[in-house]
Amino acid sequence: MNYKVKISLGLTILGVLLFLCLVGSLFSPYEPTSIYLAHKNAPPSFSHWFGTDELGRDLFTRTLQGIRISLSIGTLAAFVDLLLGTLWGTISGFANRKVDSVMMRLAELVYSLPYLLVVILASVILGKGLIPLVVAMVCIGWIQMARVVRLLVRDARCSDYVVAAHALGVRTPRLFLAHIFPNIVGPMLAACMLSVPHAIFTEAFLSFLGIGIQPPIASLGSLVGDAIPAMRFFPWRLVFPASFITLLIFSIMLLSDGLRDLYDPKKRLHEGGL
Amino acid sequence: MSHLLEVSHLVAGTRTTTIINDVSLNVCENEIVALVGESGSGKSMIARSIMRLYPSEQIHTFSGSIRFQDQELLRFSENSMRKIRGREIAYIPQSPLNALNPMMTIGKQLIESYDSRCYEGKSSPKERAHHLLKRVGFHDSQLIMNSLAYQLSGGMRQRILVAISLMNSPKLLIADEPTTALDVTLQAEILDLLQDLKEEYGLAIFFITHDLGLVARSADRVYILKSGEIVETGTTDDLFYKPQMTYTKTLLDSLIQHPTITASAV
Repeated sequence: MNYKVKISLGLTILGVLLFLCLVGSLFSPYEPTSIYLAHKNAPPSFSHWFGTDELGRDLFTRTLQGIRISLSIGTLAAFVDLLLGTLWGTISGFANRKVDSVMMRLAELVYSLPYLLVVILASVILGKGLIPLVVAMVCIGWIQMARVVRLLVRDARCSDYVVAAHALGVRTPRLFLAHIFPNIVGPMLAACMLSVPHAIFTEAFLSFLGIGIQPPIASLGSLVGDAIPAMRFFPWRLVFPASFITLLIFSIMLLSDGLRDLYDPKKRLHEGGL
Repeated sequence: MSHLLEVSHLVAGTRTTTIINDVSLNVCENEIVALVGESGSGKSMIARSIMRLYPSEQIHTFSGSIRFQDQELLRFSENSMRKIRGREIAYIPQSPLNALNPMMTIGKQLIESYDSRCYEGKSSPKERAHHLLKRVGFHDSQLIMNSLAYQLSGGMRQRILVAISLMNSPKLLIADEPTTALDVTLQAEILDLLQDLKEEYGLAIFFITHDLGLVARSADRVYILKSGEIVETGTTDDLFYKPQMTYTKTLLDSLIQHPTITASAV
């Protein structure tokens, strides 16, 4: 598949999902948290498009809210990861061996902390909710990004074309901006985009354990978690949120794949030249 | 002839091994000098020392003197050194296949290295780039300017590197194994080109190779390097007809057994 097709398809699906979760609730007369016990576990119908859950809450409205929550957690965590990781990784990649060792050992120290412990600590200190969850994820998540960026910078710095440019008297800032950065931005963006689904899955897992998003607010993960016990009798409660998770992650994967190809000169249809 | 570059008593080594041991050599103006040695003898390290491009974290001992136009390069600050690189001394790295930025068009890379203060001519960077690309044998220079490195063959890339290194009319060109990645016909082509450029621009060329055939074809003077030490030096003719050291004789003997190279050498 051409990178243009990948990027536009990914962006289209993501755009539709974004549009749905921002505007979709206008089409629904229900609130995501209002309870109608008389309608509990109703199958999909014209009044409840995706059916209702065990408290009679409208699943269409709750799924839309779930996309909103999951997507904001995913993008926020990935963005902060990218920011912190790029900064740390670039400095470490450029620094001399001693500074580099100290920085990477510090990062490994943080990385060795048990993940769940950090999340629980963060939720104890910052309270429960979306922001503490993102903070807890980023606490550990940025290190992956920093490692990737450091390796890419180190690799590019020793590459022949950077040495050649250095030998031609190119200044260090330009060496980074024109020679190193364009050659590492593709894999960097791909790694960043991969941390979006990772964050979404982590949130789903934490919600499942009860330390993620707190009820009655819904995330895609908590909807799936709630639906699993009733899967045999009310399968629609599982099918809709699960397919939206799939769709969301599929579109992000497509986008990340396309972005990586965009920055690969061999895959990009280069205009001009031979 | 006055010495353009004079390296004396250069010693370099890591914590445990000596890479270059008391190397002294010189390059005069408008002269082609070859440095010959087997792999691991410290050839590239000498070239990189002159440009100060060696990995400083791994090099533990470094002493001696490198004089260029009667200035001591080892006393230069990093910033003054940057002004020498590409402007006074140009360097062509070992592997032409990877020495071009894969994400930048050839034209941009040519123009990037251009420093208007170094070139007295009136031509703009673009004109200069076109002129040099034509000079190294590309007729459709606009097409090459718009290309990316992966679209070009090894020989084309090597010629582009020569063009890039000449952008600022340097006085000395250091080429680290300029022909290793090329086949025999292209090797001859690049060497003829270097020789023409020497005549045309009054360039001095210091090239590193392990191929004595190339030396016989183009160098004025030769240094033979073995395990980080210069074992023999002389004009190309002297060295080929009256080798003094057994090591040089061994090298030459190995050459005789290689019929294709001998043909071009004699």
